[in-house]
Amino acid sequence: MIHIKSTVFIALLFLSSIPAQSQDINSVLQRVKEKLEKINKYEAVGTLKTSIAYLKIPVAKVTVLFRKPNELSITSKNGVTFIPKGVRAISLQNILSNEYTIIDGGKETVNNKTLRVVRLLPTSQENNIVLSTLYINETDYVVEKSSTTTKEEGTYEMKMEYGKYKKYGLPDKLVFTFNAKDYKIPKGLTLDFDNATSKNQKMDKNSMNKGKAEIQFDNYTIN
Amino acid sequence: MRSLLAIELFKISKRPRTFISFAAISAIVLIFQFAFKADGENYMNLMLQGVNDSFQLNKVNALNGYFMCYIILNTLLVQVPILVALVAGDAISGEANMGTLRLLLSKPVYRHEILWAKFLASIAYTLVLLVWMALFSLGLSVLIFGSGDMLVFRVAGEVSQIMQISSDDILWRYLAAFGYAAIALTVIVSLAIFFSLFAENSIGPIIITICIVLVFTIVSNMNIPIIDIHVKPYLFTSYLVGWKGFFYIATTPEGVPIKGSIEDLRSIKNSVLILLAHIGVLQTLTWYFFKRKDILS
Repeated sequence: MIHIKSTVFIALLFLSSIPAQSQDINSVLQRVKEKLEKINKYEAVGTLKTSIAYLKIPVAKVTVLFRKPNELSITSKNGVTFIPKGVRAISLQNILSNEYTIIDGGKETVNNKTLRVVRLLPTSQENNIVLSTLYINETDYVVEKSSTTTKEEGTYEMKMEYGKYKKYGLPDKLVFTFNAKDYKIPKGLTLDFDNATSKNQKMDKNSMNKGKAEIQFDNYTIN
Repeated sequence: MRSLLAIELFKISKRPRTFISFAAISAIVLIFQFAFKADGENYMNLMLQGVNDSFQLNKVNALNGYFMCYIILNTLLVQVPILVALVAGDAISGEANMGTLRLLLSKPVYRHEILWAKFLASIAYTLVLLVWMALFSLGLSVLIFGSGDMLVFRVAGEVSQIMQISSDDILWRYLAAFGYAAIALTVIVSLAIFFSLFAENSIGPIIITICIVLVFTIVSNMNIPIIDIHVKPYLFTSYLVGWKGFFYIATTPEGVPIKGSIEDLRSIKNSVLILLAHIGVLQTLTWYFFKRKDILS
């Protein structure tokens, strides 16, 4: 009898814990969303550093413009700015504006911080995003890290560092890693003739396609 | 010596063929500028084709005068040796053809002074040609297309690269590149004058010089390992394009270009030394044979 009672108690405890846990992650995510929804538009000035093996480009001064619901543009005044395509597609506002199923991923320690992990599965089949994993700081309700898998462009990772704009959920620094396609141009097109004293270069194909973009925001003008 | 040089410069300026080169360069540059003004965006898109898949490009005057000049020089600096040979190949053989060589060498001046005057006059012509080229390909292009950061597309071995040089870091590179081109073209001048020594009319030395430049250039551009290792280092044409090294900017380990830097300065120095050695050897040989040249027949 005692055995049955304890089994029922444990079962009830387990069942009651599911909605409580789900509610909890929902409210955490809701707090994050509320923070981001306070922003109707912002303009940020910063620097963009794009690193990939085949690009040798200087750090660009960029202006980032955001307008609700998920309009994001990055512009620069001179030269050519190489903005990884995924930056726009996987911005937090864009991810959170979709309809999705929430899966609680528990807690994980990232850079000595315990973060709440939430996995978002978009409900629409047409969405390019297959899965997004957000690592949320439960103290400040900001996303510190995210990983997004898309149908066509592979997996993107973002790391955010927050400072004076933490209350708006806007990072001071954003590091974005991505996979890029090969870049190959025919020699005839560049009219590039080898100099006999320069050595031909070889490159590891894996490192060739791994890219990283860092945006350091200096100043935000919000709403 | 000065009066000899002045006479040689006067002779060059009076030959119609001298101005063919200026007309040819002007025509090529203008055609390029017209073509790129009309449809340059397509060329730029073609070069950036693979990048478009992964990056959203925000282009602000990428097709500017600096980029245009680089494209033009890529094409022109392969052809200019031919134009230089037109004048330098005529230096001594032209005199022989007109029957003035005997008269000239029987004057109370040293033979080496005459040779130096001809050599310096041909170099002066080459320098004026380069200045003309710079004015047209760089000056005019900047006027037409404006200025801005410059994109350099490069294929080195298996690797394709895109480099971006800030607009305030470009002009010195062009200055250095034109300086390098002057040294490279002096090799052609020396070669043409050397062949000019043995001919009775200028067609022969001009054709021989052009043929050597063409054949060597073709071999220099073959991508066959055995030729890369055993042949290319011994062809002067492999070093003619070394000017491009000034546009291959060094980077930090993270791939950010370092202003004012060159990726492989040693390679450029080597190329300059090899070209100077060619000039030295050809000049010595020319002087040796010119001193012993029989002008009685």
